[in-house]
Amino acid sequence: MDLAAEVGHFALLDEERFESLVNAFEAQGVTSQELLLWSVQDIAKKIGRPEQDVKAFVSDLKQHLQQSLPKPQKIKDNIPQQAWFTTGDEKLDKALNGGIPCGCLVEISGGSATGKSNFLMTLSMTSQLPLEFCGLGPSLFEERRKPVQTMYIPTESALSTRRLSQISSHYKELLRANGIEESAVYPQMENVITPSIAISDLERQDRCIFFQLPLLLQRNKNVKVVILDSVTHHIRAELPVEQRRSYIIKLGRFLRKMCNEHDVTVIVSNQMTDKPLGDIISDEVFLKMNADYQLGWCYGWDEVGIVYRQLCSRNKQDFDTYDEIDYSEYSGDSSTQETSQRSSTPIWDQLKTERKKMFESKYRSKVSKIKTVPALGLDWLNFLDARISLIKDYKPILNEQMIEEFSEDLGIDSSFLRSQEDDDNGNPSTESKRKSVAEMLMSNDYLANYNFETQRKLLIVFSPLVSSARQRECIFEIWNGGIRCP
Amino acid sequence: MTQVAEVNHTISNEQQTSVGEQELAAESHEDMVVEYDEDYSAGPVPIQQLVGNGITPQDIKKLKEAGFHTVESIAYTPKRHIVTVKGISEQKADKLLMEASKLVPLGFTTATEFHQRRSELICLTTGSKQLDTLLGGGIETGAITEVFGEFRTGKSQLCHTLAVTCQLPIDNGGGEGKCLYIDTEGTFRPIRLVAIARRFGLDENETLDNVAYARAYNADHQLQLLHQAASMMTESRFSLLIVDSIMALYRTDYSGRGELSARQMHVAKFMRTLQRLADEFGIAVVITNQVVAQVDGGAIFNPDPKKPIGGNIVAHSSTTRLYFKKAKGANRICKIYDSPCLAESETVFALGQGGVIDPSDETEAADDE
Repeated sequence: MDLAAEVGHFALLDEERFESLVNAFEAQGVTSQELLLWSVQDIAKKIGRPEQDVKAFVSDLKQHLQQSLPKPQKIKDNIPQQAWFTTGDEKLDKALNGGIPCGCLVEISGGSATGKSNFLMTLSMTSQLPLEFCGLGPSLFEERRKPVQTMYIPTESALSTRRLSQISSHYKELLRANGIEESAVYPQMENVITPSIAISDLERQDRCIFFQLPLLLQRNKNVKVVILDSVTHHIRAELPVEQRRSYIIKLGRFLRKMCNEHDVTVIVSNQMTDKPLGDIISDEVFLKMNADYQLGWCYGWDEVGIVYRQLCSRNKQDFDTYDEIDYSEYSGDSSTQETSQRSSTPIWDQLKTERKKMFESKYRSKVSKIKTVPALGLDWLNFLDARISLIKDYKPILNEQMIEEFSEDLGIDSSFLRSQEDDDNGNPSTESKRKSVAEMLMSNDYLANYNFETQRKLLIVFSPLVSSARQRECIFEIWNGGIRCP
Repeated sequence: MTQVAEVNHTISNEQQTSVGEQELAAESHEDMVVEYDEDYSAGPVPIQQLVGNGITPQDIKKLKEAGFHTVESIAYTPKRHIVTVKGISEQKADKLLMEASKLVPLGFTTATEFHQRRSELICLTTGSKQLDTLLGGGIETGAITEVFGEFRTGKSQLCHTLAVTCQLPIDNGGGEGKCLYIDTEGTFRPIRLVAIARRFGLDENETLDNVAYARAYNADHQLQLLHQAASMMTESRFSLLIVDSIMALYRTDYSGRGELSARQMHVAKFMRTLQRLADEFGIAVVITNQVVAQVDGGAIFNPDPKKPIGGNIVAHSSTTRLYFKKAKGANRICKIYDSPCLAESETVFALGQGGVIDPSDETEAADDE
């Protein structure tokens, strides 16, 4: 019987007098649809049961179905009381236009050591702040207060409670400094819930997310934030690429459902993966496989002409002369020879040699510039309400004046800085000078080892609170009390 | 069945502290609390309790025939096992798990409670006070620590030292346990252990006996060793697992871009098995990693163009990442590269006859070449 699966659970299924009836439905293969569409007599005849019983059952079923239909609501009822909560820092909040959007599925992505876990741990504390401090907690003036709780599911390694206690004590101090003596409103580790068994594989993760989490949210209405750190870890290890897609969609849909049903904010962290080197293959190796190319060739165009047109359309601009096309191997007589040679070899061999050529020439230079992108791809992206990327960079501590000042100690010839001011008309010699100085700076032992500091940047890729026109970058640092703008 | 027993064991530990209980007590829904408590105090809940919500007595009968008699047994059995029971569909298994988890403790705890439990985890001393201070006490147990750096920066020396210090009494910064040393590059030198053991005043032969050494010859073998490690660890007390170095075999076993995704998945599996061992047995896991020069055309200002290999997966899986650099003489610099709880700072330590030691004028002047 598919009743339970189709219409959910209702009281009738438990009643004893209907048990045999339900069994009979199952035995005869009567589906829920048939129950609703067929006449009572037909059903009764088919399963050999008194009409009255079936009638009573079906009418109750219909009533149940009507009850469970969602009722139209006013838009006003759907507006959440609070649209965001703070990250704990004014400037970060400003960049995020308020803070972390509530009731959304938010992703924090970033490479290793970019501060994802620190960001999330800070959020688990700031969400507990009282309303007056832009947290999700109850107002300070409220009589009966229920603390806000956070569910923190770490999958990569155990929750670093040592760090968490540091952050929580910072916020305690902050509130105390603001003259709030009541310890009940302080953000506490007590309000962070975490699985007691380490989530060491996908199976445990599944159990935790798909079975335990909804139950917890159902029972404990104080949980307002769910943090999953990180979503990628076990998927990467266990699911081959072809199986990931369906799993990711299932997970994304489920987390969205949790957001909507229980009015919680789900924040997940995501790892980074190398961006596929798509353009090498699609654009250049397969140039000759391109329909455009083949069409042009059929019309009797020469190769240079076709390449010219293709590059024009790709770059959205006209070249003045053929010479500007950086495609030397296809110009001149050699190209026609090459084509005639190649036409005799099978097409797959052609592709193979071309691909090999591309890898040897272009791959090396491109590899060094591989960009990383958040893992899990477009399927996952489709479910997100907001994506925040964390980037870790290095920047030299000294500026040019300081280099000049310390140049003697460091053993650097700083004359170029002065000469640049003299003739700032962009002649190539200045450029080469600059380069040589940059190289010198790089090779300097002191600078190479000590002259750098890390700089972390937060990039709001998209968020319901932030319009695309805004400045969406913000520099942040990790300190004792969580994260902040320097 | 062992798996079920193990989970049950963990659950019973939580009985007094189950967070579900605390929260529910605070909840105003009295009826729910009563129901919950009843189910809870009764010990194992008979499987009949699951009837309803689309689970029929027939299903229960099928489950009983397959050997499931309690709600707990359902709740702690993987879904793929339940599906193998004849007549239980995938949807039904979902339903069963859903209902069963309603009746057993949720298995969540608060961070405070978790913090207390974690504070029992000890740190293994590295032999250098400076390095210990930097690391907040030493190498953390229950976590993966990755050490990377060029050759001769002291990676293997640290491993050798730890192999000895992990045997020290807990009061002296040790772990009172054995060490498992998985060697992939053939750099393990037992003779070094003797010298280090002397420094810490341990019996040489006993020290050597307490280090289980395994040489891995290929990537699969490396993973296989971890499975054997798990069974060894159930038999006697281990406090440290060393893999020196993690990526060496992958570099040769897998080559080219075509095998990259297969390689990375294998690495991910390996890293996760390590994490699981760390979680289950409370051991410290130390892995070493090689570096490659990072050819980054764009950024002129790169503090150090060396990058650990293993890609994003190793980077994300290690809890703490340490970068070792050469300094003057026998001194070495250790820099915290990534850690959830330690600030990004660095310190100097030195290498000596007794393993990793504190730097002094002597070590700075030492002729390292």
